[in-house]
Amino acid sequence: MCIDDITGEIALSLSLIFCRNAKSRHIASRFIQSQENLNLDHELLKFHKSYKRHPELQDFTVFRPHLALLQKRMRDWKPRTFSELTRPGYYDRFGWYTAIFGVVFGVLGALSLIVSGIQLAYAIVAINLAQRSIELQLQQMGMTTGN
Amino acid sequence: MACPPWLDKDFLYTLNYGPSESDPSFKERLESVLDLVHGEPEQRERITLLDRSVAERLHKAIFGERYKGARFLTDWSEGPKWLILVGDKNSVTPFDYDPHASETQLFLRVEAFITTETLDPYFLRSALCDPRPSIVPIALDVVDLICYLASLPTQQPPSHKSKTIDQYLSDFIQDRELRSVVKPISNLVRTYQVQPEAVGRDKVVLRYLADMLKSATLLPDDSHWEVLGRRFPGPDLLLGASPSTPSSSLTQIFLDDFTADFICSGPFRLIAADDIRHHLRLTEKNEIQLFLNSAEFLSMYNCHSLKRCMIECHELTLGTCASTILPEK
Repeated sequence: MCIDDITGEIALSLSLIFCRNAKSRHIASRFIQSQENLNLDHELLKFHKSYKRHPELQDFTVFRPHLALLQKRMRDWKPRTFSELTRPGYYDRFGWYTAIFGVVFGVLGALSLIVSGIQLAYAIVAINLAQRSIELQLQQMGMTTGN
Repeated sequence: MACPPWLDKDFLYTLNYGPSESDPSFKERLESVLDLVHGEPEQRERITLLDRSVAERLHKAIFGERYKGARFLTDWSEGPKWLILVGDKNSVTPFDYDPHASETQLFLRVEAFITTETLDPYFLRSALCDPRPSIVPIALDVVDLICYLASLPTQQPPSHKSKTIDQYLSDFIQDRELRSVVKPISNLVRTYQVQPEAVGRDKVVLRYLADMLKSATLLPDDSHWEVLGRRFPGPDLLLGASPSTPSSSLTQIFLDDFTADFICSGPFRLIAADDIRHHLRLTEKNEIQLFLNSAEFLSMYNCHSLKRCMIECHELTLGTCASTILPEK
């Protein structure tokens, strides 16, 4: 192992993150645009020339503990603030989608409750108006029969 | 670029070998030296403050592997064959540092460390030697330290646990006299080493040596304590201590989870790091740091004397657990 291997492992890790699918390559291009004085294109191109394959676990010796810890942190991540509730974790996404589904239905239920309340209020107002109109009609009928 | 007029031969001799002078103009010149070593690299690359023979020894100690011939000539007959032409006007003579050599930045850093430790009254070094020391003794101590660490065996049995930098530096002090530390302090440190209950009471010399090592290996923004606690030989010195993870975690890494689109679909973000030790480490804001200029950075170590010690031991350590690695998902 030599210094070049550390350089190689860093290139491998960049390739692992940015070169495995089209979406990741798109993120890489945006990442490069947001950074100054970086030549990631050159690094990735060099990697492809050197390896021409996807990285495998046995390629990582120096950075394997780093990857293990990152994965552990990804696995253990839990939302701690209200805004983080809107972001799905990396694992058990079915649970997150179920929760979001429940929240959406809960919100819809609450909205329907509010709408029902408003409808009830309008209905009461409508009944009052109808009663008043009936009373007026009865009064008018009484006046005509009296004449 | 011409040499500054205040940097004459008498001043340079005193700077290198002492003794200190109380002359006000001498102090002014010292301040100019500090400005020079912390100034523009282009200017710095033209001037060697160290005695050239000592600079050559220092260079040979740090970059022994690739070292060929004389880099710091003391005599030179001007002629085109000695010049490295840079553009139309600039040229690099055998008296200048070669700005194109990858190790120049590292060597300049060592020389800046030596000079600053010597001249800056607020630096640690001033507590170890009175009156003001000269730069050659420090340079020679750096040479000894690098040679000592480079001579350490890297092939150890798998059961052997590598020592910390702290322990190696303690051994180093036990074995030899430091030229840049006055004897009473050196002896005091040795006394502390043989009295376990007193260890940690005064580690000023160890911190001084840790700073020497930091400058000779270009480790920026490290505290003395962080360097002293790292294991050696191994990549810890260069990359920082590896994250502590249970051995079972090392065997259950699913690389499919490390694509940028998967990472960005969750709460973590990707950011660029300017320090190699931060590569693939997470910040408190859930940002995964990536060091992108590794090839340029590591090229400085291609010919470093400690290169062998920075990596081989780690390979052995991992080799022992390689057989337990499970196949990737």
